[in-house]
Amino acid sequence: MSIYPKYIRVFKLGVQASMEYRLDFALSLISAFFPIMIQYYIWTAVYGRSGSGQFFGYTYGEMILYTIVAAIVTKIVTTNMDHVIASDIKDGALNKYLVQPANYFGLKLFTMLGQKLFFFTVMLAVLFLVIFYFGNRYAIHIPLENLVCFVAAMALSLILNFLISYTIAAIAFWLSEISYFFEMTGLLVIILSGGVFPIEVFGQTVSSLLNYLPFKYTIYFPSNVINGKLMSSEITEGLLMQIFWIGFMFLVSKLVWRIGFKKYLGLGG
Amino acid sequence: MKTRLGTLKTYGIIYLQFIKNCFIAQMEYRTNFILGIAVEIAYLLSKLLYVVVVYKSDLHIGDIPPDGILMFVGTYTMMTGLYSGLFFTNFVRISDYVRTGELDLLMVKPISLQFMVSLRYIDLGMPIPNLAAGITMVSIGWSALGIPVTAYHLFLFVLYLLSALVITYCLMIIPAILSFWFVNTGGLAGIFYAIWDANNMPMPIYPRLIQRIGVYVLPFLVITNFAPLSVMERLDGGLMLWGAIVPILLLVCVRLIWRKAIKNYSSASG
Repeated sequence: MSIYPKYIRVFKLGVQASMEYRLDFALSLISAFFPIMIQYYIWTAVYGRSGSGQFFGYTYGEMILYTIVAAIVTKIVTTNMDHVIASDIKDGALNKYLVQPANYFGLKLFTMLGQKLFFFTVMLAVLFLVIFYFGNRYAIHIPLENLVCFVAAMALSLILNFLISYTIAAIAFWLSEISYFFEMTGLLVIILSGGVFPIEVFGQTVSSLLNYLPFKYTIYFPSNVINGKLMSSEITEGLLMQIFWIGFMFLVSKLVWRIGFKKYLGLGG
Repeated sequence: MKTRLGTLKTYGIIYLQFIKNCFIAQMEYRTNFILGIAVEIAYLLSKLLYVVVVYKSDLHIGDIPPDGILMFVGTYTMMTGLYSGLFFTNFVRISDYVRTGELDLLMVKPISLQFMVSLRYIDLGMPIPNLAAGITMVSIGWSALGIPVTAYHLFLFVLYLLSALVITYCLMIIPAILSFWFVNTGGLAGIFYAIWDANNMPMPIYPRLIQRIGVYVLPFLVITNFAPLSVMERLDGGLMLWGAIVPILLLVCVRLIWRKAIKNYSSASG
């Protein structure tokens, strides 16, 4: 008997659930366009006025590509899983999972992967079109292996981001009220991950601090793989760091959840 | 005339009651109140990153220096605070009223339905960080640019802020009103929030076509640009007039759409 069918089942359910809200997805794509537009004009003004070709270590083309790619990557990797899991903890819905012969972590992970499959594919297609167009326009040559590495980096970043959300969601064991809390943490994670601006903008101290945290490997790193800013040795190193952080966050989340469960009340449900 | 003033006074008293009720309700759930403020601070941080970029890269837009841009960002932040405090909660609820049929109950109240539905909830916590940061930024920009603090300048600034408030009400209520026709307007509201953020930067940064649309068709750009532009004396006579007329025009439009929408109300499931 294999243990996998049940996880494949929730994966398929996740795929189906994601297809249910296609219009919403299309509209969210349109709303992703506006921040890109604003930043595009900001950077055009910044680079247009100054004689020097670099700001925060990026050329104009790299910065524009970063802006576009980071916005799309943010859409791909962010899930509302922290909110879902936190509500499970808070309103006792976790009870029903506890008596099931399945692992809660596994169920949520595969649901998330299923939900993201459709988005992931569509977004990658959009992204490749964008890159093809802008790559030509700003004469940025992106080698094939970067594209392959990018897909790998994105897959890893999706898992890493899930682990971060899963760990943060455990705070719900200690909170009495969760309504807004995870909106705040979600936003802070996006900022620290480089989803608004590349982390160099924060200045030397903060960005070197962020080297010791997992966040930049979810948005900042994949975006820089594709805009041609990183050398291939740096890409390999980054991929290894992603794997390291996935392992590390996996252990942290196990630990936090074990401690949290001692606090679990199972109210409601 | 006298009855008109009387009505206005009555509505004023009712609005004060709304504020009082909301204050009492929010003090009952203090953790939520504080968390609401914390969420706004997180949003504020992500917006302040733009200020960091502006100063670090010494961005000039046309001949507006970084200090001038700060005034625009400040106005935007203030308006975001006002919007989140006065309107946001109400507009989110409108589609729920329609979907659940809760509107039936509100309809029978002896008061304007639109007033009741769109202004009833005031959040007193959420606007605090934005208003504080916004006023600070505007003041810093104002004094750094050496704009004289005269009654005339203050009057202009406040006038265009008020006009902006009315425009905000009229534009941001549109997705909510559309929920009388469509069940889910969350996606459209998301687009409106995204357009709202275009106000983060002074409008001369955008190409002429976008500026035209943003001023004359969907006057989003009027909201945060006219107040600082007017005190910088960069607003010509025609635009100054337009900034004063547009809120009135929009109010009339929204009122008409509202009436049409109400006729379409099906009182589902209530």
